[in-house]
Amino acid sequence: MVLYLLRRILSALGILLLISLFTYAIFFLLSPDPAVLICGKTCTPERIDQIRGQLGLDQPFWVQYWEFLRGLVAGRSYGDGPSAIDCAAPCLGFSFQTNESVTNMITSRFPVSATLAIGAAVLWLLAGIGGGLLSAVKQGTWWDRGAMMVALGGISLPNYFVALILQYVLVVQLQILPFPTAVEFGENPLLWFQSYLMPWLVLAFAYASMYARLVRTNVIDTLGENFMRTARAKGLAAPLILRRHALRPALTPVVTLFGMDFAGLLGGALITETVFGLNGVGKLAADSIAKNDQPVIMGVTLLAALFVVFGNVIVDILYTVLDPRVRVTSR
Amino acid sequence: MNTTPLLEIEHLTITFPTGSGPVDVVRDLSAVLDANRTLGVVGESGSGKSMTSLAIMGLLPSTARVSGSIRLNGQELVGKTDREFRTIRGEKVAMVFQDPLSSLNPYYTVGLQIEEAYRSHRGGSRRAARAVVLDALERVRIKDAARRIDHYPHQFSGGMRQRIMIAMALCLEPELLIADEPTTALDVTVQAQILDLLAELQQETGSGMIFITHDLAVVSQVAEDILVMKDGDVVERGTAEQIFSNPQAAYTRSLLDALPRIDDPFEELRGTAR
Amino acid sequence: MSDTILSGHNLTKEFITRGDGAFSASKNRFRAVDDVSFDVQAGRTLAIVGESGCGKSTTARLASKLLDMTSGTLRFEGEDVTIAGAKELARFRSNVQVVFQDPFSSLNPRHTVERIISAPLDYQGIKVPRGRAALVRELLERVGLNPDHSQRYPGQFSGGQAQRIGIARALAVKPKLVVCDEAVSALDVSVQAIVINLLRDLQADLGLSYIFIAHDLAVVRQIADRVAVMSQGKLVEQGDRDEIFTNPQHEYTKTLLAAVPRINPEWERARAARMAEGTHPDQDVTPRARATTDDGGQA
Repeated sequence: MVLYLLRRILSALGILLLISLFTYAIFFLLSPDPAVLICGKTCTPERIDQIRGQLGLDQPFWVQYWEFLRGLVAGRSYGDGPSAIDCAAPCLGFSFQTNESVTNMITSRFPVSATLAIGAAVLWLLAGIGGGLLSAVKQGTWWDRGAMMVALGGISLPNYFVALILQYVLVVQLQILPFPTAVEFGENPLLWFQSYLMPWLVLAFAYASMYARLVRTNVIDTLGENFMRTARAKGLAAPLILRRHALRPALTPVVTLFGMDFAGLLGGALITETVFGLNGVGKLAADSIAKNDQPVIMGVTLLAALFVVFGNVIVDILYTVLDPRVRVTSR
Repeated sequence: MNTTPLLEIEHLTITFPTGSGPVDVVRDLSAVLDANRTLGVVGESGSGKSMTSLAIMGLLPSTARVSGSIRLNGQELVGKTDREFRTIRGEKVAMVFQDPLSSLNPYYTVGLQIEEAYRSHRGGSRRAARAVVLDALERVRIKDAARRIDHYPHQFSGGMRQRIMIAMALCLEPELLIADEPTTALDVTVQAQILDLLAELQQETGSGMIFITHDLAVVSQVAEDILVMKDGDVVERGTAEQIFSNPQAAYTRSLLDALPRIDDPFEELRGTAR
Repeated sequence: MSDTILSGHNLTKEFITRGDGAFSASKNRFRAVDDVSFDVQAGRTLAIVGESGCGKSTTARLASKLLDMTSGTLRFEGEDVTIAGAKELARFRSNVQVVFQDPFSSLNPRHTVERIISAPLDYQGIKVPRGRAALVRELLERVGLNPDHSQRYPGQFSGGQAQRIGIARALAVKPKLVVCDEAVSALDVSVQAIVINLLRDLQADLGLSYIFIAHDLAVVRQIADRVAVMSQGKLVEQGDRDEIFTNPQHEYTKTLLAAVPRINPEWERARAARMAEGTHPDQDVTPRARATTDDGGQA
C-alpha cells in the first residue's frame, strides 16, 4: 500500500513537472517580451536591458526554467546587491502589472474560490444524486422526463446566461436577494451567504445536471444487473435492495467524476467568478490573461494543475476503498 | 399422506406485449411437483423455460401478463403483489441462477450477501446470522469457511461461487429450489461436483427442485420427471425414462437425434432444418 | 498417411500480468501455453480440448498467428512461418482462416453479408474475375444459406445462420486450414448439429483441415480425427480420437471424460431398439417456423 502510494505520488509529481515545463515553454516562446511590458511606453533600450538582467530574461531558456523551479522549491531573489528583491518559496515571481508577489495574490484569493467550490459541490451532489436517483426509480414518468429536460438545459445553457437570468429573476424582479457584494463572513454572515447563494446555484446547476443524468443511467444499468435479480429472489425489501445493492455500484463512478470536477473548481471558476465579480482565483486568471501578466498566468495554471493531478491521486486511492475488486486480492 | 402437492401449476400462460402485438412466452403449462422430487424443464433458447421459474418467484417484468394458477402448498401465487411475494421468495422458494459471478454483488462479501437473505426473513442479530451463514457455507463444502465468509465474490472460482449461491438459497431451508441452468457456465468437472452437491443437499432437506436446462444429458441425470418445452409450449411430459427411452413428440426425438454422444460417434447427426 | 499441413513445435506463450491487486508493483509471467507441440494432417481435424483457462484458445491463436508466440516454431506445409513478414503473413492468412465462438460479435452488424464475406479478399488483395457477388452467392449456397440474402445484415439472421456466414467468410479466400475456436459452443443443440454436419461436408468436399477448439467432448467425438487434451497450459495427452475416448492414459483425461454427463445407456438402447423396429418412423420432423432472432444462442 505504502509502495503504491509512493509510486502514485511520484508519478503525479512527474506529471506536474511536465506541465510546468510545457506552460513555461509556451509563455517563453509565444508571449511578447515581458521587459517591454513592465517598462511601459516611455522606455529606453537601456532600461529594458536592465529589467531583463534583473529578471534573468537574458539567460537561456533552460537556465530560466531551472531558476523558476528552484524558486518554487527554495525561493529565489531577483537582481544582486542592495536592489535585490527576495521571493520566498514557493516563489512564483511578481506580477508585471502590480509588482505583487504572485504567491500572495493567489493565496489571498484562494478562500473565495474554495468557498464557491465547496458550497456549489454540496448543492450539486444533493440535487444531482437525489434527482438522478429519483428519475431512475421513476423511470419514464413525468417526473423523470421533466427532471431530464431541466438537466439537459443545465448542461447546454452557458453559465453566464443562467447567471444573468437568475440575477434578473431573484435580484431585479422578485428582489429576494441583494446584489452580490464582496463581504467577509465575519462582517455580515447573512449578506455573505446571500452573496454566495447565486454563484453557488449557477455553478451547481450545470454540475447537478450532469450528475443527475449520470446517476440516472448508472442506477438504471445497475437495476438491470443479475445481482439485483438475486437480491429480489432472496426476498429482500425494496428499500434495502435499492439502498444496498443499487446505490453503491451506481455511485462509485460518481466519485471519480466528483474528484476531478471539485479539484478543477478549486483552481478557480473562471466564468462564474467573473460574472458575479467574485475575487477568486478564476477571476485572477481571467484578469491576468487580459493583461498578459505572465507570472500570474503561470501561477494559476500550475495551481489548477496541482489540484487536478492530486485530485486524481486521491480518487484512485478512494477507489481502492470503495471497490473491493480493486483491492489487494492475494490472501 | 399429504394430498396437496408442493407445487401445482395449471394452465399457466405468460404473455408479453411487443410492438407487433402480444406474444405468449409460455402457453398453457401445467405441472405438479412433490417434495423430494426433481422436475426437469428442458428446451432450447426461447422455449420459455426460464420464464416459468420467474413466474413462480414473482420476478417477471411488470409488463408480463400471467394467467392460470400456480399453487405452492395449495396457496395461490398468481396475482400476488410484489410485497406479498417477499414472504415466498427466499423463505419458501429459492433460486440458483446460471452465471454465479454476475448474480453476486461484487461490492459485498459473500457472508453479508447470505446473511442479509437470512436476516430479512428471520431477523435476529448479525452474530446469530453469521453462525447460520457459516453453517450454510460448510454444508456446500466451502473449505476454510470461517475465513472465506469475509471474502468477496471475485476471490472465488466459478464453481465456488455457485456453491455460495446454493448456500444462499439453502440457508432459509426453502421447500422448493429452482435451479436455472446452474451448471451451464461451469466446466464439466465442476458441473459434475455441483450436480452431486445439489442431489446430496436435496436428500438432506427433502425439498422439491425444478431444474431448468438446455442440456439433455444433464437433465437425464438429475430429474425424475421432465417437461420438454419449445416456443412456449410443453411438447412432451413424462418420467425421465419415458422421455429418453420412448420419446413421443417429434421435437423430443429430433433433439435426441441432434445430441452428440460422447460414447459413440455417429456418422451423421440429425439437425433440425432452420 | 496424409501430409502434415500445419505443425507447432514447443509453442509457448507467456503473458505479463500485473501482480494481484492495485497495490502490487510486481509483474508476473503467466504461461498460458507451455511447450505445446502438434501436427495437423491435411484433410483431417485436430481437436484441442480442455477446461476454461487451459490455454486451448491461446493455442488456437498461436496456430492462426493472431498472436505472436514467446517461443516455439510454427510450420505451414513445411515452411517456417514463426516469424513472417507482411507478405508471408498475407499468404499464411489466405491459407489459414478462423471461425470464432460468438457469431454475432464477430460479424460487423453494419455491413451487409456480401461485404462481410468478401472482406478477406480485400485484405489479401485477391481479385475475383467473375465478380464478388457471384462468389458470395456461391459461398452462401455452399454453407446452406439463401444466396438471395447477400444484401441482408447479420441482425436479420439466427445464431446458426450467423455462424454459417462466419464459415462462408472463412472460406472466401479458399483456405487449406480453418481454425474453429468454440465455433459451435454458443448454438442450440439442433442448430449445432447442422453446423457440425456442414463442417464435415465441407471437409469432405474441399479437403479442408481443421483445428477444432472445444470444451464439449461429445461434440469433439463427432468431428475430430485426433484429439489433444490440455490442462493448465500443458498438453497432457494426444492421440487418435477413439484411442483418447475409449482408452485414455492420462489421469486428467480420465477425470474429464468421466465428468461428462451421459444419458442412461439402457434408455439409449431402448430408444435405439424402438427406432430400429420402426415404432416411430422418422417422419419429416419440421418444427414450427420461428422468428429468425430467437435461437440467437445462449450465453
